[in-house]
Amino acid sequence: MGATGRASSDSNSSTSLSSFEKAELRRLLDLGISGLSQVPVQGVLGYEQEYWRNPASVHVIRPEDITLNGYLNSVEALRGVPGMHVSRGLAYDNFASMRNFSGFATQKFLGKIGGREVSQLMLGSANYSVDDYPVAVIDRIEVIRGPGASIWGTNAVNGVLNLVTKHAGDTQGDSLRLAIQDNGTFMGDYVHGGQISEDSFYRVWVRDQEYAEGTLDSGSPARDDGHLRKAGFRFDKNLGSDLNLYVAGGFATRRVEHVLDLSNRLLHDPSKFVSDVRNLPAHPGFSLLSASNQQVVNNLVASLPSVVPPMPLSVSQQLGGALALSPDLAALNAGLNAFLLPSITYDLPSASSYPAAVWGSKSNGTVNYPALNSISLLSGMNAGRFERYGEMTNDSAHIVSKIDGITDFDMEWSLTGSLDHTDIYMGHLGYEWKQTQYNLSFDANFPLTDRHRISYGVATQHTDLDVKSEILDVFQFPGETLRPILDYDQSFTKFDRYTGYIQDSISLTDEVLISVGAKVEENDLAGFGLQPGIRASWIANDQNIFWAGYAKTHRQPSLRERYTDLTPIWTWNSTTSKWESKTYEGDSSLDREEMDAYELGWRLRPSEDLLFELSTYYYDTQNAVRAATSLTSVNAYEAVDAEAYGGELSIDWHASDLWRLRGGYSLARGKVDGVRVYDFPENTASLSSHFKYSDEVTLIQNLFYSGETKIPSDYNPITIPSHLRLDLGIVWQIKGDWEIGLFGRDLLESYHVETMYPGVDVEPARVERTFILTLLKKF
Amino acid sequence: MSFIKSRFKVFLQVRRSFVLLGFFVLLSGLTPIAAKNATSDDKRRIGRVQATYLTHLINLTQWNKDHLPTPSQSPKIVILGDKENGFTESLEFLLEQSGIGIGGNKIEILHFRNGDKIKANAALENKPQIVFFLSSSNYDPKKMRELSKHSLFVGNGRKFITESKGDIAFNYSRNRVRLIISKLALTRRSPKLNSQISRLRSVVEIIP
Repeated sequence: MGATGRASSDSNSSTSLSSFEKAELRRLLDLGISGLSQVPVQGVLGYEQEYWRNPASVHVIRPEDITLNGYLNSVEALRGVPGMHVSRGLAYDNFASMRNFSGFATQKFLGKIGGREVSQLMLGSANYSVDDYPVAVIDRIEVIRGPGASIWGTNAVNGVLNLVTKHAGDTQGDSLRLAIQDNGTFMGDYVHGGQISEDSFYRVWVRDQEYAEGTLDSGSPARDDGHLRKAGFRFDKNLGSDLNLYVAGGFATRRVEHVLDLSNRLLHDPSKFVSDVRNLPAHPGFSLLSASNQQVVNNLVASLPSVVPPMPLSVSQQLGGALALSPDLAALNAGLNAFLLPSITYDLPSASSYPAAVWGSKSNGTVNYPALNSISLLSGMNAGRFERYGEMTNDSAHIVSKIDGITDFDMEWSLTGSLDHTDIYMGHLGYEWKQTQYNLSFDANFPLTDRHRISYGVATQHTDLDVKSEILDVFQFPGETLRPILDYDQSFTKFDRYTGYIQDSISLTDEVLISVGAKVEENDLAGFGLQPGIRASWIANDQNIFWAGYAKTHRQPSLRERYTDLTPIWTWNSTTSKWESKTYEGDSSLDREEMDAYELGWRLRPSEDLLFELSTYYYDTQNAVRAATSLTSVNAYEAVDAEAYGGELSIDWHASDLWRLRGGYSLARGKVDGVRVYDFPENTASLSSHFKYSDEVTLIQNLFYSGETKIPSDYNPITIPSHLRLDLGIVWQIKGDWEIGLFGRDLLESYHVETMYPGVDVEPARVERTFILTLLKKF
Repeated sequence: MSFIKSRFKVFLQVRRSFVLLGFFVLLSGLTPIAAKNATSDDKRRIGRVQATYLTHLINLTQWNKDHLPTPSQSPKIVILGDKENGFTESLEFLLEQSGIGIGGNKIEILHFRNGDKIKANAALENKPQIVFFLSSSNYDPKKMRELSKHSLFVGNGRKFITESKGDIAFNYSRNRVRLIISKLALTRRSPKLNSQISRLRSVVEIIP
């Protein structure tokens, strides 16, 4: 170890470094000459997220945060980010949400991966597993919590997730990563990079993921095995002084199965039976019945509420069977017939009126159906569980090109174009869409006088859709007008979006930085909108920075919410002896969600080794889109007023050269129309320790806590219990660039339950204790 | 009716395009009045980036034994000029953090203001390994070179190489700090920069 001595004759030179500056120096030291040449001197939010004066809550994930913790993909690494909730219900996907109100399928943060905005207009969400990259090509993942519409654009509601890939020149040679779990799940990727000429570089990569089958909460097989295979490339060329070009592309194909819960999809309306029974005592002939038959009727009336809602056909069939065998009812009907009164019958649909054999093939035990407990006649009966599995395929390809430069007027600019094509088939629902999306954007920033830096940009997006629906075998009712579960309005297959933004970052004084801006946008889904925002940070002293922000931000409704009719239920009407469908219409009047967001933050760095960050927020949302769960609802989604508040506390402590400790705690509370909701865990926490036992060996310990969540449902609300997860790992740098890791996950219990499909009645799956062996060859 | 609708839609799209184009042109027109001066916060960041560069460059430079101090003495970096914007502290911090030395020994940093010419001259007569001229320095690099011919001379601006015959210069332009290197520093025997720097031509300018 070297050290420095110092002698100085300059009495004015003792402008000591703040702890923030020292921490930045450590980060700069990790950059090579090439990296240093790219460090902007004047950093602004949107271009340089790690600048410690930024008035925003930012967390950066490095590739080693993925490999050292044994994560298979980058989404898993979000588990350690305060304010993010990662839920892994099935083998092949992790669902990530941020700062509340993301519990439903739509996610309310903007995802950018490798320079592209990755979002399916249909569902308003992205599939990060499919769009993920090999860790060797990832430079960093920036998680910006809080709205950032004024510079990031639409859908940056709860935050932004920005995955940045490396320049091809920084991935020269060969890299390999293999990971295998004890249950058979495998992931392997290989990256090769080379140089074409003095100023041009390339890389190519492939990845294969094979998912082993997991287990549902009930112990049944989850049938979630499958595979994801992908490949990609990137070409970088330096076109001149501060003028660079890259072209990147890739494709992915995934084959898995997914389930549609049918347990509450085929209903029987017992109202005719109920009214026949309840009206009998008032019948003039009732008094002619024997006392015992009158008692049977009175008992039946007492056991039936005045209104019995439609119930699963499986329950009605049990009830019908029991009544048919009831000697009391047989005696009653004999008595009624003796006096020429109509029999009390429980009419069930005939097996020929619906595809009974197909339904029989979908039967899989019983399911909890709490509504049965409120009707004494039905107590002790079980609702049958019916599940329809179907292949869910996802094929996608993209190409993105970016040219960027810096002019003599210090204007940094970039022009990015991308073409994305996705074909998603949800066989379990009989629904397929092909989305082709074209994006073109221009972004720039330049200094204006000594204390201003203007960022601005314009962008346009065009989307073409091709949507198809199928009538599922379970809903093919002879003689009825058939309807698919999801039926898209084919009048809306082309969408355009135009945006422009401007932001001024002002160094008001050496201590105060203000960022003020607005984004204007016009799109075919949400019309014209203005999204202003203002943020400010104040350096109170060498160790403390306070920041605050206000932003108005929009989220456009998804096509699923707006233009898709949902017909999930068919009911047998005993009066008409017909099957009737229940359709929840897409609501084309659903407007964009508008959120006013207020944030306050405090960054405390007592030394370059220790950082505390506190971020708090209050979100007030108008027209928040929530799934309707009532049978009487007209639309599948409803616009409600919602509010959310909470905060995140994080700590990053380099306790010594050998030991780094990071922790986080998040509190998130939400209300919909004034009523508390619990679909996002109120409390989450994480603690991560990396201890370098020697130059070759690192010991890793991760502890995650997630509070209880309550998943709404139209028949069976599910509580996902809180859980504490302990992961331990050891990473051994065996030789040169080779690394072996052994990780044990969920070591405290054999399994806990998680779900990634809240609100659609998919049984939660077990996240089981697993052991993972990894092999990594770095460049 | 559908014809009118389609024409109206085309009109809307054309209008949107013009609005965005106008926005773009307006902002592009502002750039010629862009500023060139850095705020004090920016200057301190420039100092930090320069110090980091210099730390890496120490590792990439080789001195002949003859140009290194005796084992009982520390290798030295002499910094000349006023208003250093935290450069010296940054360099000191980085050397301590990285453990980088010269010839395996700890580095001593000496800083002399513009008014301390006598002391500075004396320091250079002791043949420091690196001499760094702050942008505020009024020392003449050519004259200082006479005092210590085998020091690595590092300074600011392109002219430091082309006119003052320095070895390495930091150039702040386009919101970045870049390296300019004299080819001589790559080819002479000592002090000699590692040839791997010459492979970074896209980010390092080498002046013959």
